[in-house]
Amino acid sequence: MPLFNNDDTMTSYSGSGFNFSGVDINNHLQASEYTLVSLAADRSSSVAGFATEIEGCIKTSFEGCQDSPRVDNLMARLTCFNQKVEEIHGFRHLTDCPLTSYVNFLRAGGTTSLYDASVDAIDSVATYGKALQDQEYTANGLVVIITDGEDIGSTFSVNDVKKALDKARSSEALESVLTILIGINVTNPAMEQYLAKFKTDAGIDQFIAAKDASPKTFAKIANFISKSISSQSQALRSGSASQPITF
Amino acid sequence: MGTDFYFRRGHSHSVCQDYAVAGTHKETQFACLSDGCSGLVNPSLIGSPNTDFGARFLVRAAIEHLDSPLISEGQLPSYDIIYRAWTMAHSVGLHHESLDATMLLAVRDPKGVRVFQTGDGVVAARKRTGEIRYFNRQFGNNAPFYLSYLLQPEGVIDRYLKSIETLTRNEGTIDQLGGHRVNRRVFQAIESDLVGTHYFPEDEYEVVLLMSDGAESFQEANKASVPLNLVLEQMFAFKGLLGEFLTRRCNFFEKYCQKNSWRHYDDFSVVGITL
Repeated sequence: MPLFNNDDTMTSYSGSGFNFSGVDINNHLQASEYTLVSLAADRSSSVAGFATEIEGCIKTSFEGCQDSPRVDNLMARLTCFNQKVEEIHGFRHLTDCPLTSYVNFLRAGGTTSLYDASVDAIDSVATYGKALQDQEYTANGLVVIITDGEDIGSTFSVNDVKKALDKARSSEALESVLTILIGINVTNPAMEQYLAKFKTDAGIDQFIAAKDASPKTFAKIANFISKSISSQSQALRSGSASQPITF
Repeated sequence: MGTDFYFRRGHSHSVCQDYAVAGTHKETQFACLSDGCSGLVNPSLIGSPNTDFGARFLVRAAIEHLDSPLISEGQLPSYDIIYRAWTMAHSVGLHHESLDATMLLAVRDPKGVRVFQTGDGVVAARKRTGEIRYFNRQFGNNAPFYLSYLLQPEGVIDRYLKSIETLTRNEGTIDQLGGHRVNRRVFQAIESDLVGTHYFPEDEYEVVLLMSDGAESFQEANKASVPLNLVLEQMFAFKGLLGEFLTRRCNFFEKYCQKNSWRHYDDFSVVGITL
């Protein structure tokens, strides 16, 4: 279910075969540079047992960035995916993401269009980054994909994910783009191997295999996502290369 | 309505002696910059040392006097500003020569922007029609006027006016198609000419920029000077005037300079107010 629906600051943008939304660049962006965070969360039926924890993890991740001195330079987009990818909210200032709203949006059920969600997340960062660049804003990107399982039924392939990432990286619109794949409750070695291969084949920067879905693990993941966002924002400020954070 | 600022060290300088800041102080929007004389860092050598500090003190002192009634009367409270700056410099053990710096100040009022200029630098504004008007000054003997001269014994101003002999005032226009005209006037300056003033009404102008003379120090790869009007065309090529409008423009101007092998050998600072 989309959040922050009645917001006239947002406008629609077109990616590669899908639409997404973001703050209207011409009328509402004050800073000179932004880190664009695109977070895609698995809502397939297999996450039903810890859907609330995933929501809490996302909320805590964003909360961890609220006190950052760079908070005015952070924008976030959230999507959830099962057999379809749904935008929960488009790119908006992190300060305009009321944390109390991040409840009951996951609603687990269905299969896992992991590759479609990945292409959607990566391409939206690249496309919005280009729109920002056209208006002389500087931007970099962070894509975080949270999943517990392998892809079923995506329109796009792993190769399409790689193409989307290569295109985002070679585009001069983004100073850099960092991609993180987080496997939740990865108890099966075969599943870990599958996700590790997806990471390698698609060219994703980092793969984190969380072995369980405990509150402690989700707290660690939230902290990791927060630090990754802060690190990417600092890299934009200093002009240095992105530095992946250790989980 | 907004303000923004930007400054960068020139490639021939080891320390940036320009300082710029813009914002709101006691409900008054302002934009201010100061360009310190390129003196020598080693205080035992002659020159104007520590003007990087002095530039900051001057700007800070100017901000503290934004609510002076003289400003709304079109006068810069020069003595108040320099004595306040001197208090700051003295408190950290610096000589008055640290205040050998130019100063450009823009102050917003209900009907427009008032600008005061001591020393050299460029004052420029874009009209709502798209036309850019600019003003810059050159002092004889390459010796711009500094407010710090007011700290010296009586008679210094007269001797200074004699030493520079003339002041050159340029008024330029860049039209929407890039056509450029300059009207140059060379004259013998008197004391009242030393602080330049301008007023830009908001019904006529949409953005005012003040720049240090670093704007006139851009060179191409072959060391040929880049004409000021080309620099100004780039400076005013805003995509939008919201928030950090000048930072965004200058970030992309930097990329433009890299692409075209332009470098500024002097420190470059610019401040802006939108109307």
